[in-house]
Amino acid sequence: MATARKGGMDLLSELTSNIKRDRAGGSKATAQKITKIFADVIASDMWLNATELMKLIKQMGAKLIAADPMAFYIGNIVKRIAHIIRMQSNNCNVPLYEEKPKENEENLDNPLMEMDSLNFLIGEENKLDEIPLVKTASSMNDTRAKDPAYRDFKSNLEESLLEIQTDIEEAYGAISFHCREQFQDNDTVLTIGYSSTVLELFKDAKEKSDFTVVVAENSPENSGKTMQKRLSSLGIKTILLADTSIFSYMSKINKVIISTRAIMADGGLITDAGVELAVLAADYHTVPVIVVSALYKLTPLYPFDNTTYNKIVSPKTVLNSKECKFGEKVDVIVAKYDYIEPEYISLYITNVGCHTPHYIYREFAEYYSKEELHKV
Amino acid sequence: MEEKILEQFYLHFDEGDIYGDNNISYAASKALEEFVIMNEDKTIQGFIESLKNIQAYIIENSTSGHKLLKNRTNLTLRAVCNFCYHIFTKEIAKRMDQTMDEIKEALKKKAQDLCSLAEIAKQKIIKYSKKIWRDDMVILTHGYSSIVLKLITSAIENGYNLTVYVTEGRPDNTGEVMVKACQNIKPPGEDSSVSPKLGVDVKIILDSSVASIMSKVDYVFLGAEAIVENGGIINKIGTFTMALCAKAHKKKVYVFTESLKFLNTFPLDQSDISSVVPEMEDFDNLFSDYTPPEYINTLITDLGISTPYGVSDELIQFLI
Repeated sequence: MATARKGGMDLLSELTSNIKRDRAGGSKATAQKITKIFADVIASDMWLNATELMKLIKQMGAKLIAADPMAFYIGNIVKRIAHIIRMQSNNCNVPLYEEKPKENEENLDNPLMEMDSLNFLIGEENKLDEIPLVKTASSMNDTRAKDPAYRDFKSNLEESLLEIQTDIEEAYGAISFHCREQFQDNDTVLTIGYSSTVLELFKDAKEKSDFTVVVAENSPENSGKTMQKRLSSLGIKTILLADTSIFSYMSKINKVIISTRAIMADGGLITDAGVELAVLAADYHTVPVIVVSALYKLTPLYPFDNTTYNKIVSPKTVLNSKECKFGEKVDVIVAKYDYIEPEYISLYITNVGCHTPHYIYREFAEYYSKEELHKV
Repeated sequence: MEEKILEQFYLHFDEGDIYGDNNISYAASKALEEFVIMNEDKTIQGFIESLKNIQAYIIENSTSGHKLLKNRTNLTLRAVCNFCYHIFTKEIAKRMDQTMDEIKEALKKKAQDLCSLAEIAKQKIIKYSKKIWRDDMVILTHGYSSIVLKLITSAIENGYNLTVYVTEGRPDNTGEVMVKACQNIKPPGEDSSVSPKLGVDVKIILDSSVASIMSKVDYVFLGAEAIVENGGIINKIGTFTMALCAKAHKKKVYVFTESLKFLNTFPLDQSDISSVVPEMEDFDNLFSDYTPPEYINTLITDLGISTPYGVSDELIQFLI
């Protein structure tokens, strides 16, 4: 058991340092690695009861999230697993005690501050008595060896984790399947920068229809060039467009298909910088905007504006040090992300199907528990 | 007995800050708790009948009876009574085999839970709003709203600088109360006798100048008298105008309110709310207007942060 724990922790620290240095591969590869680590933890002997498991998952999750707080998919997977644990412990009648996070000193004495208000009023029982605010000795004594319910609990958990892993693996295929009907012959589709999801999508759709792809460069990183090269090698007619020409060319575009870093709780998107310009141009010309993303990018966080979840990155892509001598008193601001409001999006396509901005919150209710959903 | 319950309601309403600290929800839940204590019905059916009667009585007579409630609608009261009714009937349904006394004990406890929820709801809203604050924000608000005042106070106490535009709020001019209250907020660590002008920079504007001021404003903060089933809100007359202007200028509208204010109606246009909102005496319009959910960006309640469409889904399941 000690060696299993050591092995798991080693993998975890390796992955954490890779994420920090941005060397873990794309979001899909990292998501797969994280899910594998958690699946191994659940299958192993590292935990004795549901409380310990939840605590372990949260600790490991906190380390991973701290490696890159803006890589939302990490937090999403952790929260999804936490939700599954809560659900299964309910289904299998396995006791689960969670420590409430201590935020403010003043609110410690009023348990109502941490609880879901309406559930408390109209819930099943008066939950105020049931949730112990301090862990008692008896809760540590439930071991799973004695209880057959734990066997069910563990096997259900393993099944759910396997489901998540398959979902992530087959994400591209499922998304392409749902998106097939969006393409017609002689369509002109705009996409921005490079995205493997969109690339797979085009690969799949070109079998069925004959369309042209316009790729916007997305300066300063110019990932659009890679996208254009890959698309051309697939035999798809591609046009490379400079960012500045997006507005003037938009009247010739039939639809815009973009991928995103995260879909937030209000339906808004956190994308790479530069996508919002294209979306606003599309809105002006009434061109529909379709967002494709896998489910693990659904983030139960609420951004209030462009600066809530954003960071400023190195200015070297815009103004390198050699040029700086003449512009010494210049502040160079290069924002990494854009926040796009849900009103500008026409359709979301995930691996489970299509959703509209008004109703995407329902997916959140299915995959995340209330405790995570309304935390800021 | 009905007059006594109504008196209790006024008593608890007066106990708090007259402009809403110990607010209508709290006073209503306290009054209904009194009702459970005073009630002498021996049967469940009788109890439910009396409950309906007392709620109808309170709703009808509360506005005209109290000088401060005269210029406000009793929507919040309706919503809380509705909520209370559902909580009580659900509780009774669970205890059909128990004696009347046991049931009354349980109901008294539920009424007390409702009171504590009404008290703590505003603190929870403030907790959820922490990420909204930015330095040098310019906010527009409509008349007096105790939750918006509390939010501004918490922002000042956390060291942010704000400018607040407050509309006059005709015909009862509640905007002036808001201005005075904002000017009384003391920023942290400042000796107010030395620099009396620090704190929040609050300016009062005419109701009709909302559109002209909108380009200077960053956000619109609103309270609500009631949330309706499709996620829209009913609030003091003039709110819809403000939301409409905000949308035209692409400014964000945030509504802060408690979940207890959920009303079970689905208005399609302004005239649909005339059954719950009274008409003004001197003018030919209603006291409040209905703002459709398309004009609201975010609803922040004690349940958390959500879009207007999302919150109605959550709340309706508690009232079925």
